[in-house]
Amino acid sequence: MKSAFAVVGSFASGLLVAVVFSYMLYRIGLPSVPFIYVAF
Amino acid sequence: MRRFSSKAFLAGLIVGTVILALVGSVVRPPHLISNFRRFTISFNTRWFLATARELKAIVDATPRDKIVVVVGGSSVMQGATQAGSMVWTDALQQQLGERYVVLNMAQRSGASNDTGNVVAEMVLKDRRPLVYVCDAMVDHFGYLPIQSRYQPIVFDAWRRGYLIDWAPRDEAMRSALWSESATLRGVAWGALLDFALNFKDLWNYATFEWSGTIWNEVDRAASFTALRAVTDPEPTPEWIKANMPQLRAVTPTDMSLLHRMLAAPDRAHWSGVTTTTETYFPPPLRAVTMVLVDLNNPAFLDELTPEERDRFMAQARFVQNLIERSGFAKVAIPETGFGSEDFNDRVHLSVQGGHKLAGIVAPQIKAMATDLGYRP
Repeated sequence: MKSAFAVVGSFASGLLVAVVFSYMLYRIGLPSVPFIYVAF
Repeated sequence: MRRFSSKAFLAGLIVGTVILALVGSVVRPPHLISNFRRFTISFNTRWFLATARELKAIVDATPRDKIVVVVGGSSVMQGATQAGSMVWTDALQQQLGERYVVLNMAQRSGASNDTGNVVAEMVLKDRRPLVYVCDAMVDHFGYLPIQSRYQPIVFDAWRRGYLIDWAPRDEAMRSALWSESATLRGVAWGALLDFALNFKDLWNYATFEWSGTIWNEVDRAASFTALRAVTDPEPTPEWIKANMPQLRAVTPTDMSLLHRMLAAPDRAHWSGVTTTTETYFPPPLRAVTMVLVDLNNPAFLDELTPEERDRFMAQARFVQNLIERSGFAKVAIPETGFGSEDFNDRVHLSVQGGHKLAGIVAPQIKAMATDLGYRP
């Protein structure tokens, strides 16, 4: 039973890392500061 | 007792990545598609760069029996300083009538070849009638990829096959993967990765529909509000009059900008402008494009000497000829009828000026549509 929990937990960790990885790729592609162009 | 399974972890990582890529390939923010009016200043402060698929969805949402008028270029075309409900492209839509649909795709600090052209080429590829309206400055036209903050949009669209085949540009886009500029390399590789993983579509959806993901100084606590709930914050003419009367005051910065424009750019500069034009505007797009050369607030030009004013207009005509020679359908200088009250600052049109511009441009678009055989 404990082994099954370990597998499910590890799988879930993999899913979570996939989400973080996806967001990191998105965020890295954006400038470090927002573009604020105020005409006035 | 085993606490961790590396195989299960790897399986979770792969399955998660595939699921996210699949979700990213199908989600489009419905409120962006159905309510699109223009890229507001809030898009900039929230780091929101539309993806090529989102732009295509906006195009696809327009009725197919209409002549599409795509407006691209700088903040002048975007309608900066004009309240959202009074933006000049709404007046243009009104002037053109029901046979046309106007899409304002201009960007603050943008150029004619970094978003509007992408949307225009999507329309052309769909074999739909199109007039592309964009702008030039008296000292330049178009941006090289390294100069534009909106290049991720162009690379995204090129990578996904939304742009017209044009060998010089295709070569430039391919070679960007190995560019000496780390920024450009990053954009090119980012587009390649996103082509496979669709992370921009996925997180743009979340940002627009659910919640912002990045705290920023401008919006502070509202940083995490979904972009769909943020209204266009440009002020009304009454607000500007009451709160920002100094907008129209001529400052040393403005004069320094004007003098810089007049510093007679050399032959290498103009040759660069021509190369940019030849590389990044495919000929079929040039054939349906009207370029407007942006002039400046007459009150600001009055601060120049008569000789400088003459040079300013001569340079505007020089740019006009330069662009015309590259095969653009029309290059116009809307120089008559504009007073200082038609501007909110040195270069951005007031609501009144925007309506005036719409009145000048609409008949020219209709004439182009006739020349291009769009109307019976």
